[in-house]
Amino acid sequence: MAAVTSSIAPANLSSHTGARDTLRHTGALIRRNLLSTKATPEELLDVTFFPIIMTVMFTYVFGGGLKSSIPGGDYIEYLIPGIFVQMLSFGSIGVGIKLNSDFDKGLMDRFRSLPIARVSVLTAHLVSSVLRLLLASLITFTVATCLGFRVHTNVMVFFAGIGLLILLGFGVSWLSLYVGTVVRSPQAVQGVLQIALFPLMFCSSIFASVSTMPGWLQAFAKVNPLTTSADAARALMVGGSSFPLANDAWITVAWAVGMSVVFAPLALRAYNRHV
Amino acid sequence: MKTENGPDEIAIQVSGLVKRFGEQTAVDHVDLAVPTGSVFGLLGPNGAGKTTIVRMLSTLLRPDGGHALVAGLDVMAHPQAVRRVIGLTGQFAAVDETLSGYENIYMIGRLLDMPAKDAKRRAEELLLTFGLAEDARKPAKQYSGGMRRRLDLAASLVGRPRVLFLDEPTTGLDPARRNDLWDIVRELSQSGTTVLLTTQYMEEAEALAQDIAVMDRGRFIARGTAEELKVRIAGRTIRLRPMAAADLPVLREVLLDVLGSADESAPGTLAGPVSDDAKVAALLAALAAKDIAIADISTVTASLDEVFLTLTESKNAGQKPGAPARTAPETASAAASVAEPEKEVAR
Repeated sequence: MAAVTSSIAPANLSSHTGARDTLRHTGALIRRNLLSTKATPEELLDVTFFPIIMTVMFTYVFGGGLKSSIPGGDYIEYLIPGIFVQMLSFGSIGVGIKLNSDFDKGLMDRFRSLPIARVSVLTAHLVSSVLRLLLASLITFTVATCLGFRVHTNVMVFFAGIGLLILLGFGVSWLSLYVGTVVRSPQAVQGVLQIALFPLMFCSSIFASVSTMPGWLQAFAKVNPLTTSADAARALMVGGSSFPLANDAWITVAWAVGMSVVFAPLALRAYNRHV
Repeated sequence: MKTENGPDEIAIQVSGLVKRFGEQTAVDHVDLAVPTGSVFGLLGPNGAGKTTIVRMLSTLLRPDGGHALVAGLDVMAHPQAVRRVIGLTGQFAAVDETLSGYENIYMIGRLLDMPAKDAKRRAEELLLTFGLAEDARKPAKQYSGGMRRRLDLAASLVGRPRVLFLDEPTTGLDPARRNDLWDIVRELSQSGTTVLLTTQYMEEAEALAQDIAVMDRGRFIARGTAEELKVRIAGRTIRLRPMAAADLPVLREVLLDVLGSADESAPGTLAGPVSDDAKVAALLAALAAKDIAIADISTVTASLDEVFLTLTESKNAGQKPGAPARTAPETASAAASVAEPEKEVAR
């Protein structure tokens, strides 16, 4: 009985979706993500309003007290590259929340019942995440300029700095996608990632010089990827004798690549097994 | 099983389908054949395994055993090919709420490899059909529950699927919206789409499905048309009231003789089960022979609710949406007396 065959079977039995089709499907899904962001601009608050609040608060509330302990003595020059690091790492939480919502709301069932490569949904979220980070960088840069921040290196080097941090954001996005696949609700994605990122953010050189911290904390802060990336960003955006370019840029690249290498396979495996 | 149909006319062919979740067997060796263009109803309480069957047939879950062909395609060997011919509407409206109705449908069209122009045309066409044209550009989160359901159904029809899976399509809809959705399902079926729907509402299965399977704990516990299930499982009852109360003992004898049972369903009225029409004819003949004058005669068929209750009685009695709460068999039989009087003959 199991051998019942039917003449209405179409010729196309292929379970493989071609690369061009997958690209087109991914494009349609990226378009969906962009339309969604356009319809709900409040989703951009974490990469727009939050960094602005942090910048204003630290510059005007704590900046006066902090500026004596930081290299160069100009707090906004010290802070803004760190704000980019904060924004581009925290901004990657959103992608995990988005992916989790697709599972949560049953949209993934719809996508999976369509003849598309399953991975295109995840790829589209990843690409959208990077686009979101680019947009957020532009907004943060505009606000920083209004507050008096000036790039002291050249434009190319500045963009190299932004590129470096977006690479870091790419690595964090994979972590976020992994968490987004394994936890139960969109709220949990946010909770888990914020718990992981908040200590990293404050115990780093983003807001204050590591040298002012107690020794045990310095040990942690010095290896913290947000410290190395903030230091690298300062060297690339502000530069000068206060912020020399050491190995920080390469260490940041290593962190970004390392996170991708570790979390991409984990995320893909969890994603493909998710029902 | 309706294997007498030629294979070409079978849109869904399932044999020995099994799905386990850990220790629990969610679907336990299920066999099923749905003729092309018909509506098949999977009826059962929560946790019976209905959704698991739908998820396996729509390639979302891999079966642990058995075979399943959808439009002649093996769901395990050729899932991507199956996806090209099916549509799925799940229990929750699977639409992107931040996007407009139009954008949702357009996106599905693009994902189904339609050129932009065709995807646009198809989206407009479907939104018109489903009465969403006016609100096409509004974000779906502003839609009412009924509109969202219709949008979800429209999304599953973009690729003109040959087989459509509807998992509890009317749960949470008010009666008017539910009737609208029923009309849509009927139209789809008439245009040749095969529909497999799950429902907790007997009324819905009866209204839409030519063939119904009642599920409980992963198994089919009954199969047939709504009418067959009603007659076969819960049976039909004939009730007779003689002109003269003095005839009651003779009438009781006749009932016991012809039908094998006689109950006093009301003062002065006797009732007995009739399994087929021949029994009714035999009974009337016997009454004529004994010369008993009958004041009132009626037959009642159990409602599908009662069939469902009879079948799933062992199961917890609490959750039966669509049916008034009846917990014990005796109250169920009492309710039978108010259910659809079918034929009324008065002498």
